[in-house]
Amino acid sequence: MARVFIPTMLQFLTSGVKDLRIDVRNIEEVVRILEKQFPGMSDRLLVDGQLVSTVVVSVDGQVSHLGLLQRVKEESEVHFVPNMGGGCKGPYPLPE
Amino acid sequence: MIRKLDDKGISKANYKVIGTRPIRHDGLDKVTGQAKYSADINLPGMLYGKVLRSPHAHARIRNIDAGKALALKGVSAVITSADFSIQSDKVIDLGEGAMVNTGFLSQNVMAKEKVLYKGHAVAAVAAESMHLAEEALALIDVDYDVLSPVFDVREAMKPGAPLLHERLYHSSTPFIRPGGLKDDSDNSPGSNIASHFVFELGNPKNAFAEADIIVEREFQTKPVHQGYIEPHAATAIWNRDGKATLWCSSQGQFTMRDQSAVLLGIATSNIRVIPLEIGGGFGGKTLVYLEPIALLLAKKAGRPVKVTMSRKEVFEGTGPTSGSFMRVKLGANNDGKLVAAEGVLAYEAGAFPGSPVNPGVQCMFASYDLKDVRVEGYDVVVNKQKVAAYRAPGSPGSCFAVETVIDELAEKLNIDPLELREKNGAKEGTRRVSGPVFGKIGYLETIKIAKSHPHYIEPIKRNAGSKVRGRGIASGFWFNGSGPACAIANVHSDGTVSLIEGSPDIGGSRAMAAMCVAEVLGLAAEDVHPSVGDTDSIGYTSNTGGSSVAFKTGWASYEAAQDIKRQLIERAARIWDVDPGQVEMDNGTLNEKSGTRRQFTFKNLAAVLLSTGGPIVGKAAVDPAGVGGAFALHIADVEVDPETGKVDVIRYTAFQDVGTAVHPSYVEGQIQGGVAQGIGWALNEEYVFSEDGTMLNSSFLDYRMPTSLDLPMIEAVIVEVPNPGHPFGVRGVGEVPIVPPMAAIANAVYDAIGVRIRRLPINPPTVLEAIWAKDGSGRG
Amino acid sequence: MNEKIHVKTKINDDYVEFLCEARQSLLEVLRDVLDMTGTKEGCNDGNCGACTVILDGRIVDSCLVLAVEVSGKEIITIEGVANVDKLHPIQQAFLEQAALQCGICTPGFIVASKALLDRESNVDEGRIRHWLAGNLCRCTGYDKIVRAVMAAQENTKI
Repeated sequence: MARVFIPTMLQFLTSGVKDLRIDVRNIEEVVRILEKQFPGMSDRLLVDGQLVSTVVVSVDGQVSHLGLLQRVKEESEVHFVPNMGGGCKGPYPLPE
Repeated sequence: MIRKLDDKGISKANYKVIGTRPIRHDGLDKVTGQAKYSADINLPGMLYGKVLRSPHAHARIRNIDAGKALALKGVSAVITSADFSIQSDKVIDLGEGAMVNTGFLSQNVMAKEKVLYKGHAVAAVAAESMHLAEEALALIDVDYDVLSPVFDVREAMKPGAPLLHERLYHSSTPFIRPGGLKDDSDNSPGSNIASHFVFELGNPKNAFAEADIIVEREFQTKPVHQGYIEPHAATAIWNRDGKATLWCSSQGQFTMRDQSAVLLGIATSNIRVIPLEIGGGFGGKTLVYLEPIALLLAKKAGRPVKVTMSRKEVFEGTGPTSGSFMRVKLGANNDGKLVAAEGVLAYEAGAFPGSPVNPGVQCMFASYDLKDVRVEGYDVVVNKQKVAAYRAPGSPGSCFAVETVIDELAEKLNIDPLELREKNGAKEGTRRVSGPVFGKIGYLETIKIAKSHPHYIEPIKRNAGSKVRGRGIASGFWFNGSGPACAIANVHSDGTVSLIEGSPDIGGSRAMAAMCVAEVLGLAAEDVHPSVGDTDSIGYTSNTGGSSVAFKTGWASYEAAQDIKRQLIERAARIWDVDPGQVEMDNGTLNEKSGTRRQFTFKNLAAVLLSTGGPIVGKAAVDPAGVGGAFALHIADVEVDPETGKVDVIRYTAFQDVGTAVHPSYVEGQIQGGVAQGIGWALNEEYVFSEDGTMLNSSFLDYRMPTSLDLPMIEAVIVEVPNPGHPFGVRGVGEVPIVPPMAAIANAVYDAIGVRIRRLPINPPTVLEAIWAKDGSGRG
Repeated sequence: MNEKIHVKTKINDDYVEFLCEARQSLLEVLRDVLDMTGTKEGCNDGNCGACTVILDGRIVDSCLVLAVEVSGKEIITIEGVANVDKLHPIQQAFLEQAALQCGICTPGFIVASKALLDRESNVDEGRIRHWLAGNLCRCTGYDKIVRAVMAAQENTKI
């Protein structure tokens, strides 16, 4: 079961739950399950069905650029971290 | 000096090219003046553009009348914000800590309804000569409604402070969204606080209650500029088919293209950005300033236009890094174990949201293995230049605060400061305050090397005539980054390879990329010819920044070379009429594994490619994970003159874990350069403002960066704890060296004069005030 | 103000003529009129040394010299430092010592260092740092630049 951590700033949605173990294949499933258990979560994490660009997902200590597509392993640790300095992820060309 | 670690599990690979010091391929052009930088383009029929800037720190624009300017002979075009495309508040991620939405970016490039800092661009002109353009600027009439400004970060946070953006969305509850605008129906009170970040691990409140000793201190820093010697310049020309070409130097030609395209409201493929050599960036050239202006002027005038900035404009019209107010609290036990930490940072974003307070809070305690931590950051707008990234954005300031408190704790606990760090140092498995756990890192190894170094072992001579000396230590951390990167490598029939990659070369990176290819193919570094492609000729490559280039572009170059290797093996197999599995390539030679054991050298095979099936081109497009963070530990010796307050740095050693140093000379160069900037930040540099928000020291005379007389030789000790996530073990190196110097120097000054200085810069008046306050003389 | 003046001078051993306005600096003329962009503009007010040239044997900031002033004088710019077929020892030393990163300040440093080594021998670290204090570098911290000048001095001795 992957261990998914709730960011400090979103723990108000989970009544203080800081992390939970869930059985998932990828981040999209993580967000779906989080939204089911803690309504309002996907509103904070997604924009237009994609991970909001100010957040990246870190799996086993590595920042992923695959967003919702990122696969999650059996014993993975998943964090949602603010996207910030050092990363040169973008900007990607914007849709026309 | 390089120290290879002999630990189990750390490979000591035998590289042939990696780790050597070939002369960089672009060096000849640079020492002979042939290399072209952004202002070195001269096109036939070219006009010169200049920007009109606001004389007020905060004002509403009532009207702009450019009639007289346009009437001036030789003036071809004038633009204002009306010429830019309408922007929503769509967010673009620039990397390097600066998240902006395009509406704010557009308004910073050219003010729309309000001017928000003295120097804010208001209009621009294209004319036959630069002098004429400047004359034309003086003829543009702008009608302003002057408003009350706010400059201090804490003042700006108070309710009732003048608001820069009436509808700024104070995003303290939604997850990390840098200031956007409120919905029209939202009438909640406005704020200058654009964002609020909180990270917590464990239970710091309880942990503090259990601590034997607590130290809590406040700190202040001022905005400082990246100080690149090359001012911004951009040249644009349009074709009749509606496509434009833009020459500029930047840290990312793709960023310049994409930002310009968005601001102009056109498709990205309509702009081709050709990167010229860049004369320094350090994060400051990751935002557009002149590029959209050059494009719009060129479009309106129907001729190519070159727009430049004067040095004054660079200071007043681009982005320094944040001034700040910080509070740090650390709790420890008497045995030296750190048990609790708390940090609150308020960073000035300048006129628009986007200070690096987020990485600031995440880096500040990163060197330490802490279970109970809370960090909080505020991103606050004030009527100053909109900040841009500056080398390890956010981290130097917050680490200045933390490392000073660590030093104080060490003294109170009577523990050697290096021992204290070793006892509490972050290691593989340490959890960071943002959540993820560290992989393989080299902080403890770096401390170990420092402990055996003469600079640590040899005692410092306390008194030198009337002056006093002191020694200080500080550590620092930076995440390092990655991102998409592409490379194309062509094999030539003379046995050389040309490599095209997408990373503007700030300090030797194209040589690094060539060395990666050479290593894979068994060639000499000189036989690989690297160049940086434009936005049409190379695949998308993210910014040169975030200490990501050796990692991502090195990787892309490595993969392109591997692609060539595969094709060479297939070709040799075809020529020998054997199965490719029967061929291997090692050390620049292709060998038949059995049978007649035929051989090709790379050169011999390259010579027959065209007659045996055609040319061979290797390609790669990567977006690699596997980044390794970087730690640094610095030791500084200073000499203080108690009469004048002048602080001289007399000895400096910087230890840094670089993973693997591909080209050690340029790795040393990055370390030395970061240290030099940190020393300037510590001792002299700051934006000095008048009461009305004018930057009083917007020249190199008064914005005092270190000269050759201000610095000693800087010893860079390279520690190699290879990053298992990269084929050559590379960690980013460019940013972390600027993180420790301010605290190292502040701690050294304390050691010399016995007073802690908790604000930057530690300039002579500040030192004198500290000395006089301590000795009770009450002078000053 | 806008009427052009005819100037005759010598640049890198070549006789050169150009037209310029009275208000144009030597730096501007070199770069914009003569297309010699090796000399760089960093500040345009004499504080960074990126525009260093040698004028009648002395190093000057070309941004502080009016173009009309060089009439009848001799100028050496970065383009004239190397011989046709060989780099000057200081250029070679900069390459070998890795004394440049972005390279924008390099022309100014090379011209200034050449002037130092042309007139003085046995310069030590202190003298080098003092001589070069008018040239700003933001990338290197000066360490490798000073080493390059010392190495060039060694090579000129041989």
